[in-house]
Amino acid sequence: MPEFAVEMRGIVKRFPGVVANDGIDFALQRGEIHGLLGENGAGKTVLMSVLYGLYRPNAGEIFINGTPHKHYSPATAIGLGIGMVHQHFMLVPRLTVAENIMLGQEPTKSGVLLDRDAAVQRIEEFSRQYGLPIDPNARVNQLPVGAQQRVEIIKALYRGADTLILDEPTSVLTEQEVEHLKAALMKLKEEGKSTVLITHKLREAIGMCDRITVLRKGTVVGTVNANETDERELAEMMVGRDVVFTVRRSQATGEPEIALQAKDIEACDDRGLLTLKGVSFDLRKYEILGIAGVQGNGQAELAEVLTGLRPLRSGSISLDGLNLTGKTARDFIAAGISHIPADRQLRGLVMNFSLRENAILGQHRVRPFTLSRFWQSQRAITNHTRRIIEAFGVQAPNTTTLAQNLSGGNQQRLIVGREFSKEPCVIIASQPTRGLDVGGIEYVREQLLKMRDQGAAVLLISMDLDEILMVSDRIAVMYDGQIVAIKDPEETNRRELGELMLSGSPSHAAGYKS
Amino acid sequence: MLKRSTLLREMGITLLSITLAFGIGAFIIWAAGFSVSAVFINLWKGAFGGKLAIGQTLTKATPIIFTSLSFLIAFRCGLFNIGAEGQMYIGAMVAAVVGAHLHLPIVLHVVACLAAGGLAGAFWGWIPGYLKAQRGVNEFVSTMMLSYVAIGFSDYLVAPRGPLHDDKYWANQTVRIAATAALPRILKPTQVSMALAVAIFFALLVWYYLFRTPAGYELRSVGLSPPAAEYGGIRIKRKLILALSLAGLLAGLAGSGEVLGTHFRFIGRFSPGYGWDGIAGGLIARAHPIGAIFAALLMGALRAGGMQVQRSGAAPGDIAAVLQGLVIFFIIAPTLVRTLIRWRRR
Amino acid sequence: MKRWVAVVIAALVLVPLVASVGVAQAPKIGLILATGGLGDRSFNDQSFKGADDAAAVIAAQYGVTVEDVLDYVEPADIAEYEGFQLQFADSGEYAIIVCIGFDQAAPLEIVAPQYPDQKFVIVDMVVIGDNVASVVTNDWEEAFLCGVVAGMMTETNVVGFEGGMEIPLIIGFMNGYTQGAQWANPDVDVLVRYVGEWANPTLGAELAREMYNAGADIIYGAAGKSHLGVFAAAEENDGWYALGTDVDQAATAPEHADVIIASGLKRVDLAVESEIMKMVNGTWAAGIFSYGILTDFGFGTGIAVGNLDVNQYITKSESEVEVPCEVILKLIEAANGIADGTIVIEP
Repeated sequence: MPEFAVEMRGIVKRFPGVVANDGIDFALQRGEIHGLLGENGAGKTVLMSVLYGLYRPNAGEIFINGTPHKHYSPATAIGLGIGMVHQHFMLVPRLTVAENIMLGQEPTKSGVLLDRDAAVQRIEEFSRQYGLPIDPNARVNQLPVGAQQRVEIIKALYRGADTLILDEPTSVLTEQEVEHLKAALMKLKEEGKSTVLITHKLREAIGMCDRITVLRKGTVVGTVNANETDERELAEMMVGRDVVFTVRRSQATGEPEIALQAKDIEACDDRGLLTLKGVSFDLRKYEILGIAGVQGNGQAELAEVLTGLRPLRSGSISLDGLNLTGKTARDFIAAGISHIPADRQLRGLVMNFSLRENAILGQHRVRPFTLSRFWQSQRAITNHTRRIIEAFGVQAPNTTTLAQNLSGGNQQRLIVGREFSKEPCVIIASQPTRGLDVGGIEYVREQLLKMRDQGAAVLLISMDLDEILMVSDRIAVMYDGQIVAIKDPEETNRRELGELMLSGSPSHAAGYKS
Repeated sequence: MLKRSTLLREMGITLLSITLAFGIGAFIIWAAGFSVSAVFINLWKGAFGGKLAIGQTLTKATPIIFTSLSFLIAFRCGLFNIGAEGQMYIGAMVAAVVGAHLHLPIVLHVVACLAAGGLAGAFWGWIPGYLKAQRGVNEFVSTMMLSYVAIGFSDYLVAPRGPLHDDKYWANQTVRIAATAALPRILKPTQVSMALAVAIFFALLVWYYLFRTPAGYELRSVGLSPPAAEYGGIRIKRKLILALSLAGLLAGLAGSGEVLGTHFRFIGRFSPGYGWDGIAGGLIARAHPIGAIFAALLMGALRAGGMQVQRSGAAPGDIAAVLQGLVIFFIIAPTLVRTLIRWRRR
Repeated sequence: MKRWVAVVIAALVLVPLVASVGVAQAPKIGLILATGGLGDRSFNDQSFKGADDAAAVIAAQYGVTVEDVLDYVEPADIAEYEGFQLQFADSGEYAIIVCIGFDQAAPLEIVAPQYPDQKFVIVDMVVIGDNVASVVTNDWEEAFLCGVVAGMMTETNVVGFEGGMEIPLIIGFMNGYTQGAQWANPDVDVLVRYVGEWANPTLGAELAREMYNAGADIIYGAAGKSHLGVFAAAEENDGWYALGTDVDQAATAPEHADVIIASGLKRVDLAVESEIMKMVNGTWAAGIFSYGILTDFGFGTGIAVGNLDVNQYITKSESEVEVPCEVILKLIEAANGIADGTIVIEP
């Protein structure tokens, strides 16, 4: 058997205007966990999509188990034992786990009838064998994200994958779920499977991988052994410069008057279930209030309520004495509330709009962009877009590029640029760094602090506890639709916050008996 | 806006589609036992061979420009306006009444007729818009149903015992509009009138509205991404109502133009399906207002050429209709052509 | 071999030349049919027959085919009339353009003045112009003759009339029919219904059924394709009969020959042929021309009834219904009365 499960030589993949992969060599040893690290847009996902048969490379050779392969489709790749778990899951929400896994691979009784029992049995075997607990009969839309990911992994294994590609698997997971995933990957390794882990999180790459290949701008910077490197070295390889790795929180200087006031807010989620159950807080100028919590405890609804996108059931919201209760997004924007939405592709941008058009979303009605009802200043819009592109480092060929042609990180930079350049008095930032690379994360955090120092009131909703701890002046923990505690970051720690997030009270989660 | 390379590719695909349609059309003509060359020569002659032919093409294209705009402005807001035909009838009827029974000086009378016809059409578009925004009624169904209501109502008005019937003729039509209300014919002896200029003006206006005003920006945002539009403080329901009202307005103008420039009266069932042609026109134009002019010209040319094919005896009118259908089908299904191209490259 | 090529080339060059010489000489006829097109077994088909007959005469005279002489179109809707009229007129190819149907009048009023040298004929409506001959027929005469048949043959003394729309043209039919029935049978009652549509046989049948059930046993009408519904309804019961309109519908609708006693005749074919031949003979003139029994032409209306041609008004029908001799005699009396003015019909 050849040493390498996969070997890729001199892979070149061009897209209109971009060289995504520029002569990449990549080798995956049998039975290793290989981290593929790089900033957003470095070409990680493209390289693995080439391997999976989704893209055809413009040049280069691919050897799978030592045999060269050319011009193949994902179906062929699956046949060759390659499985890929995409960042956005490809599951049918209304079907059960077993049905999803069986799709396209249906075992049949006497050639015609679906043999559901056989499938369920096999899924349960896989589940035990690899330590990936899953209920084959549960409906996918009822499962948490972590479980959906396990379904995707089992699906790949079910189809006979020896080589598993995981694209940003941890970006949607909680800390605990990450630990489970790590354990599962170790189990897979023991079984002789090879894994490629696409990530931009340094700590995870070091913690989970055997070797790490770092990509930058479509080329390989180098491959290192995980136990011989550290975060600082990897970060340098990734961004090509010294990174001021942790943004240091400075003390705010201005008068912390109350800006945004929320009183006893109640609101329902999309299904009509009461999700915010009486939330009250004051958001002050010159501060960042971090909202910590496990996903699905009302943070998403809170952000929407505070930006006029979701109606209140009861309670009130006011800004500098201006009552915003029952007002629409239009009024919230006019009052000076900026919003970095959690879902940038759905809410934050019109993907089929150009950068110019996206750069004025929400401000398209006001000067200097609109001079009268029937007169828009094209020059003002272009200038504004250029300023955002330059000031916020958006990588784009020109201002008329469509937003959908930008990488995720650049999309986020565009949104942040747009929202911050409004000179807002309140910023509601929902998962502002999710999916960003090291440089991007650092940048957004710095900008949030800068806005705070200029007097803005910032509400930061994030699943990344490190982020919350790093930049917040106060930390509110949400659990089951309520704020269960507000902590000073100097006087708390990850452990205490984690317990609050998981159970709403510190003692219960820790399992102490009084 | 489309980039130049994209634009060229789109045009290339469109041309390829037309060629393919003519190819299959040629086969059908041959199989039906007619002379392929005679049909195509007459199709060309009827559409572009001489002043009259060009006039016929432009005459047919004029209402289709309006109905294509009507379709695409709603489409840009994510809505399907299937009811341009009915909105056109309502507009035509009101324009005919204002044109015949109001006494105003020249120019002003025309403007009054266009405004009245346009507003009547807008009202007919507002109803499904309101129902969509407030009650979630599917506009696909409601615009189409209201279309039948409008056509039936117009039938009643101009039927022999109807209130608007012209007793001078037995045909189902209203009296002739006043001379002051007529849009002058600009290419005599053909039927081309100033309505064509009005249509082109409105195509430019719709372009400006969609791409150069904040209102048009909001409309397109809603069409491309309602959640993002909502996030941007855009009141989606209002936009839905507005878009269908504007669609109705443009369709109403199509009818007004027919009354003021082509027939000089409302004739029962005057439309050979211009409202439906607008759906195809809007899609052929890839929902671009300037493209709508060219799409309408293509449809008009096919209709005019079809008349010549029939007159010359090269083939019955149905064969020309088959050709038209094929062209529309192939242009609207470019995904099919793209698939074929991709398939070839494999 | 070379000679063979030369012959082929000569043939290729000469044949179209000869053909074009022939076409250039023969006067061409343009025919714009009414909406509904060919196959209505009535108005359009009759008009086409007249034009076709005239074209055959011309074709024989000039040694060309009928197709070389006659071009015709079937407009799909009213809005197409003007375009077709323009297309025919503007081509300058046609010695005469025949427009069929009253609804062509409005566009012709616009088109005709723009082509003062072009001869137009319009059938069934009057358009005033120096280059337009308007052909109308005394429809009430055929209706009167049908009324005579109905009045004589009814057993219930109730007969019916079904009109397409309540317009002067159709009211003329209704009046002629009523007067004819009452002239032949003073005790007869006439029921009247209007369909409101020209092409709705289903509704036509429904209204006919209603009149039959109200006691009528013979129904006549003028309702275009809707009138076909009357025949369908008549088939449903013994003793229910119908009368055809404008052409011998027992021949054009043979499946109903068992219920169609007779058909009024509007000889559009003769009128169209007459107008075209006037053009050929150089006697064509603009103006209004009435065709009918009581006209200068002396022909244009009549009735198809019985199994032999009696005269130019009473011709044989393909009907399978037996018509008593006294009915034919009464019809001869009526036609002569109309011709000499002793019977005056109020349309």
